[in-house]
Amino acid sequence: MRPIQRRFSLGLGIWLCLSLGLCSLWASPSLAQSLAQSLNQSSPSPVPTESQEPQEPESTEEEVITPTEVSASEAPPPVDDTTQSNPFNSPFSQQNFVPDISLILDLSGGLRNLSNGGFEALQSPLKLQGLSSGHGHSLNAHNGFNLNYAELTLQAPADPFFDVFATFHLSPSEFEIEEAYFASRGLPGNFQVKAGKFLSHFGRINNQHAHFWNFNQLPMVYADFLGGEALNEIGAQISWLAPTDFFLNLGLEVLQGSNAESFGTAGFSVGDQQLKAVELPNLAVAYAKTSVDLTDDLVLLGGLSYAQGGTRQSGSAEAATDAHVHQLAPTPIGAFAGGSRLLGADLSLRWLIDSYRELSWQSEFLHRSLDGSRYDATGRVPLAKEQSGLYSELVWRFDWQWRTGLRLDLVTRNDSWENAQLKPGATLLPRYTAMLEYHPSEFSRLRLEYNYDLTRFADGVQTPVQSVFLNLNLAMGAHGAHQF
Amino acid sequence: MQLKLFKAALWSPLLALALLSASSAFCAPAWAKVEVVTTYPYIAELVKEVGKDKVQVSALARGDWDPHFVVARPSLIAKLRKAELLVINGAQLEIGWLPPLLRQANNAKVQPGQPGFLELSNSVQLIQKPQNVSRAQGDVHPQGNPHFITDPHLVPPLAKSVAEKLCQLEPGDCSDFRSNQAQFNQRWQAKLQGWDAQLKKLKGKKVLEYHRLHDYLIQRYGLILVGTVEPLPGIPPSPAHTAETVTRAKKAGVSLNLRGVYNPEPPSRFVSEKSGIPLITLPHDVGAVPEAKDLFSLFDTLVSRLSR
Repeated sequence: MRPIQRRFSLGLGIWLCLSLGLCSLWASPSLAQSLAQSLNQSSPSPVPTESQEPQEPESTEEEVITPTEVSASEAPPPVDDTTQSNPFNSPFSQQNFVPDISLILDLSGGLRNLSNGGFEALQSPLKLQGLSSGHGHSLNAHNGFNLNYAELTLQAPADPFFDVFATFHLSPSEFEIEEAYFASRGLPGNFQVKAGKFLSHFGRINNQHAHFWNFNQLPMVYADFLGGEALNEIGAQISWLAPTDFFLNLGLEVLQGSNAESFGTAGFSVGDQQLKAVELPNLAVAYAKTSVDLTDDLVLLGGLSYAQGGTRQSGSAEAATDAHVHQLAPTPIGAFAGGSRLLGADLSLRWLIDSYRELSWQSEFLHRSLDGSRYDATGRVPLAKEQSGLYSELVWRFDWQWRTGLRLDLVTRNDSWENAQLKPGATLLPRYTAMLEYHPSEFSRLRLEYNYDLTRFADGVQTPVQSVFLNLNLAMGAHGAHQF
Repeated sequence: MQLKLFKAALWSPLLALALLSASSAFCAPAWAKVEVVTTYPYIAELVKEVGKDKVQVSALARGDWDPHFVVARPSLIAKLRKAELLVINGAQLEIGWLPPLLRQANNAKVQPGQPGFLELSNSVQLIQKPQNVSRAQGDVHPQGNPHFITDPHLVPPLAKSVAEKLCQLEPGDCSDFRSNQAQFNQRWQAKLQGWDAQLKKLKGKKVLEYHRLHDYLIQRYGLILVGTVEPLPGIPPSPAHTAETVTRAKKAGVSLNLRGVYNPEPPSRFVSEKSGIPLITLPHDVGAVPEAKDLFSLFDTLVSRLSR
């Protein structure tokens, strides 16, 4: 009964999203008009550019740029356009339609106080199955050299109605479609629809790609509640910009919900109990983001996000009954079915000192409520969790080419109830990160990062993890422009 | 319990969205001025000159900061959301900051290719268009040098294209826009004679600049560019390169060392101190220095600083 009702409500939600979009398209004569205009005007530039002067290559340092005599009122004489008669120009060449392509490469070298095997076996107190590694991308995973990723991005408008984006995450053994989605270009009423596989706009950092983060690792709350790829799902989003003088963005996402950590759709069987897979969208996200310029140089950005969906975990039942050494150590949840609610609050403050210097402070708090049943061979046991954590980072760009920053990750709550019996987990566990960056140009970045992590356990015993890595991040191709 | 919450989570934002959008659709007054957003302050001044009381203009960037790197603060998205016309410098000067703002603005009217979008670089002839581009040459602009606003002779064609665009959007007020533009042009030509007279005295002088920010001015008035303090566009100079620039400037007999207000001062100052060549900081936009309050005072300041 329950899954049927859920399907019904989700179906209604999708229907409403679609009908809202279609109705507004239908009802807007201005859009139709502007579309018609755009179709009629294949070249939008009002004044045709005259043909170029004989082109001079960028002069080198040794060259002296010769003065060109241009009298005050006279324009330079036009020169014949030679491309018309070029026999090598194919009449069917589509070179000019190549989308914007960029490739971002991230390499690193460094050391950790644990062996690669020891690092992989670490346990995390917030994670449902306890294991710290697992699904998702991990940066600086090994001692020594790492090729963390090469991220290939293509983007272009498909037509006047859709922008298309695709990001492929390439690592030495994987080719993955990290994102592939369209976004509407011309919806009236300040709406935008986005659908495909995309990084959810939940929270502040969730929809940023790894190369844009201020530190190498995803904040612990994201990695532990949502996995190394954060909330990256297949689904649809509708967002709206409020007609206010300040920035106010509201959005709603309906997603398939096959996240490795908090949300899942997979079926499983334990003993003679069987759970079917959920085959319809299983996760809804709502968010509100707002920003005001407190002064000309001081910008505040805040957001509230909420995600709710079904949870499935199909861990082994034996692991769940393992005796553990430390009372506060992470315990694997085993096979589990239920639901999760995730609440996020974020606040960023950026003080723009001048064109090249700024001080920025960014913090996010995430809370997870998990409720459902753990399945084992003997039956099912009611299980609930209330967990929360935060990260707070301070980054100072003190020069055109230099940045430095500190981050604190903290587990603030970790309570479990099994059969309504409270089992507190370890809390106030911190992770400290410090970094120093040097940017040879806008397109390259060297980052030296030190990480001291007190949130991890090995065989039930809290184990401090320290690491030092030097990362090199390079961007080639199309000029990336970043959001705030 | 769980299910009810889930349903509520789905329905309430959708309902709120529907209500709010309905209310916003009926609130736009018909007599409102044309809402124009420009990327840089000089363009806002241009639009004010042509549109006068028929337009409401605001600029996204500050005039005293680097035009290549503008922080994409969300308040700029809020400005773009309600714009009916967006006027940009173009030639990829905005490539590093405008595209994501425009994508997030959810405003169909001002997207490239729509009638509410104007790129000023289309109405001037760009110089220094490289035949081949590679980032090994630094952060080059593939369409040519985008800093055409440093040449006062290029302002009238820009005003003309703004007037044509406003006419296209508001045909009813077209005669006003045309007469405003004609008046502006007259005042500009009058000032231009004075500026030309001053700047023509600089013809043949050798100059150094930090970034290739003043090349249109340099070309217009026959100055000779010996080199830039930055080794390549967007690459800050090393001490060794700066020292080399001093030697080269002395050998070539450079008489002016130019820098934009936002260019890092230490390397240019070092070159001037070591070589004795006067350092001249020039405004590149309205608001770059306090005296540059509008387009006229921008060039008054520029000319007076150059002929000092």
